[in-house]
Amino acid sequence: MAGLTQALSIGKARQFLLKRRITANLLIGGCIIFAFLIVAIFAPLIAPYSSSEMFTDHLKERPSAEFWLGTDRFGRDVLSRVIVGTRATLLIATISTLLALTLGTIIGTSSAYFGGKIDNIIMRINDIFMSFPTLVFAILVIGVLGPSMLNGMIAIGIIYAPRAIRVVRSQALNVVHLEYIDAAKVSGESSAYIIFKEMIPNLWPTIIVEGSIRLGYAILLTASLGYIGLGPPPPTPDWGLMAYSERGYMMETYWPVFAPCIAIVIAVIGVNLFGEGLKDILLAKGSRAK
Amino acid sequence: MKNRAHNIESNCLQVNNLDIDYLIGGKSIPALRNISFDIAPGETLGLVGESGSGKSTIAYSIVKYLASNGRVSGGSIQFKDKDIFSLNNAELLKIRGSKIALVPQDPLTSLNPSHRIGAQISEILDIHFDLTKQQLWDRTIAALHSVHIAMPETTALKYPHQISGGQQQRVLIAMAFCTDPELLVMDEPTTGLDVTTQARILDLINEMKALHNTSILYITHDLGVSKKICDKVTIIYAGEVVEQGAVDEIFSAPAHPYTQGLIDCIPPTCASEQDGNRLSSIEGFLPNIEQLENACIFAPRCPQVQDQCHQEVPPLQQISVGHQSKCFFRAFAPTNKTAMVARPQSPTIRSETLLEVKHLKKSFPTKKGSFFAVDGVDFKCNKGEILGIVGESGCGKTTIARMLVGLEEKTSGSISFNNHKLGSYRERGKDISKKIQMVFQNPEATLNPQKTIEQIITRPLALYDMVPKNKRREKAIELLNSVNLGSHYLSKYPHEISGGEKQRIGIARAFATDPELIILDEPISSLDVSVQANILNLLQELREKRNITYIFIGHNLGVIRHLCDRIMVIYKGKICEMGTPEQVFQPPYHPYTETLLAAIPVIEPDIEQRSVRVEDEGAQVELTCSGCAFHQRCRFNIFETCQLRAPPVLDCGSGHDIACHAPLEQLRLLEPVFKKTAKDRVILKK
Repeated sequence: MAGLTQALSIGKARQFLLKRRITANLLIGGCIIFAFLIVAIFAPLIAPYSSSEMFTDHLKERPSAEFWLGTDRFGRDVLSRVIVGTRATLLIATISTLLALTLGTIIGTSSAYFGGKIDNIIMRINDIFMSFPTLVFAILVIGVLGPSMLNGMIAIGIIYAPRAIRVVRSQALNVVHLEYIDAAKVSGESSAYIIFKEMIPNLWPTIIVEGSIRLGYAILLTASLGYIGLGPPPPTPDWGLMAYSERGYMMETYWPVFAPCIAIVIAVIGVNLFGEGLKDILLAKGSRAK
Repeated sequence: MKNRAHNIESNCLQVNNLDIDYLIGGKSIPALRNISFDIAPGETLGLVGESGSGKSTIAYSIVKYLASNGRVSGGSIQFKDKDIFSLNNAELLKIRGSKIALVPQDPLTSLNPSHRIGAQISEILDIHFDLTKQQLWDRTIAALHSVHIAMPETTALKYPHQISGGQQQRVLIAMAFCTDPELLVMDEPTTGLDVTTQARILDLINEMKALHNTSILYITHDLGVSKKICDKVTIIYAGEVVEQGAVDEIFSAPAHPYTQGLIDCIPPTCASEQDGNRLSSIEGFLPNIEQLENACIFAPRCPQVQDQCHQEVPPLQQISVGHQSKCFFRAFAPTNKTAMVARPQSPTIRSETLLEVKHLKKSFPTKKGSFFAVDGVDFKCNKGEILGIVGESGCGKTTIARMLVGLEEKTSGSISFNNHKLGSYRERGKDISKKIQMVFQNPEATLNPQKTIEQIITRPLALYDMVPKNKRREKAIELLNSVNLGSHYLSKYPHEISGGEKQRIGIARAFATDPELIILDEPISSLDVSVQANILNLLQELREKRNITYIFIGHNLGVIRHLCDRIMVIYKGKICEMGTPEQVFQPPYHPYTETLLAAIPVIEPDIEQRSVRVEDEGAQVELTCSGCAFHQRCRFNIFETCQLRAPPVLDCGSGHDIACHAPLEQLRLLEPVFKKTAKDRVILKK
């Protein structure tokens, strides 16, 4: 009886969330990500002005009813630039994360499956890649390929692939000696079938959680690359580049620097909260059995 | 001791009408309902039930250590004169460990791997007694000595991983007894151990109990073990006590249909008139206790169910002094004999050899060199035969199985199948892979959790292109039917079905390719007894229909005897004895086979089992042994000969081989381990 009354007092909505392990992290993170997505997709519609339009009589203006986040030194509306800048940043970060995950999943799972020497060689090469400082490595890759949006994606993808390989491989090692993999080997399945059809479907939770955590890092790295001038070339508005180009006037007009920085912070926090929330749902499931 | 103490004062532990609920997903589930039992001082009560019956919940409620979502919703537990549930934490701490001790199931995870054994024992003594350092050390050594650990001084300084599983369990028992508790709760303390180790640990528990006059609550799923160690047995089913009584009465005259069913599920230990018949089994599944009906909890599975059983809950009826059964009807004559279908003539075993293994060896590298898990094994397996491989854990039986299917690369030797030499699975052609299939041990891991049963079963059909695409579903249903499952299983995922059903799907998958040889690696050892019988019957049935060859690997000699045509006993990677079940169960024995047989927990009341003492396995595992692997533990050990020279194979006639240095005449003179006594099973009539 005591249990029943308590169950009723929890309330239907909370019970629903509790049962599915939906935490506040997930809800808040999800809302932030959703908001950014909407902004990115409908950027030209949402932005009050064009991102490149210069209001020459409104230079370095403080935030006002006309320009919500003020204007920069060319008289461009900061809010519009931040809004349109969402597109480039999110696009680069998302595609590079997907690239990193794809590489990570295939190489990591294969490495765990083949094991032995092959695994050893792959993982040592991986260690070498991981020992480069990320930004230096990014400069190196873009230096070789030349700066462009596509090359930025490739660079970030390659930088984060080794980390994804590590995480996926460690989870794949837990799966590879399970009996259903043995059963597939005994019945004569090919290695490709076992890796793609037997192992990877069981690694999805890990891959998704790893992706959501990686995405936060990718946003940061995208902004960093923009800041040092290796992001999408102007006039495409980019958060990192905005902060860089206005930093010289930060003492008198701080808002053109702070606005993109705060956007970066909110985006990263949102993605991380969402990742944590996903982890609670997807990865905690296995531990509930014991 | 067997006279039940009716005086409450004199009971060590008394559980009255205990109800425990678990709160799961906002719902309250009555896991235990109206549990009552008592234990007198110096008495051992066995709590027997299958998985999910609530045995462990009872154990933890006694030390008030329930999971956070568990709640006592009624009843009381009286320990001596104290009501456990009314004690506060400080009072409980005083009782736990000193008055009530717990021996857990898994010895390795219960000992802290980073502390020395001596330190872990003296820690307990230090908490409960006021002793000097020297006294602590002396008491620790004495505790280890009392559980027959050789060289306690050196063992006390070792870490848990440096001693064997049996010794770890001995240390845990020493820890439990060192504070001289009045009640000991043992949660399946021998389940993870080998039969011979189990037999010695049970002896030890009995000895310690007599010494300390401790009451024991012994939780187990194994009826045989409970018969060996308990004075009284309480059978629980789905959270209810269904029968309780003195151990002899429960086994000679079980009153509740569930108890009868459990006993009948176990294959007879030695030759009997029921040989060759199907085992009887308990149909159906554990009831859903979320929705309890006003009926007998066992009614849906009961073979003797009556209308009354569906309408009201039966009371716990007194059958004789101290013997109660939760059934309307006093007792039934067991019906298994009529229900059993006689096995048709077993398919003719052609003398055609299907599989021939020669000098098979497998070594694993270790720090000191290499360790031979399989050390020169030769055997043949004929078409249509069931060959049983039996041995304790670490004897190499699973390694042999994995080499046969190619999952493990052999170090040397040869395996030929239909006169084709076999290599690892990567080197095998499709036509060979198709003909050799395997059924795995762990039902939880044998099916890919991301695939439906249909995907799992139809995959081999697609891989070998055996059935056209539009007929695959039909064929899958046919396969499911052959393992007694309906077509509605096709769309299910593995997590939606029970362990026994998963194992059936595993068998159906193995049969999908129409193989000639199936290797079964302990397919039933992680299943409940009632489900085991089902799977064994299924395997027999399939063999009769398809004239297939099995290699059945197991550690339970009784099961192997029931199923197999020939038995191969192995120890440390070497074959000790090979022969038909009749030959292996009768003298001459290999000394190791003899100890295995003597360690089987027997449940039949009319069988007398001779006990054979055997040494504990030494802590150090010899890497290579030029002589007989068993010489250290063997009672016939011939000085130097056994240690240094490989034993000759003694031919005892008609295919019965024993590898031993002892003269065959001496082995022939051994007394049989099992003897039938005149006492027959008493059947109470209604």
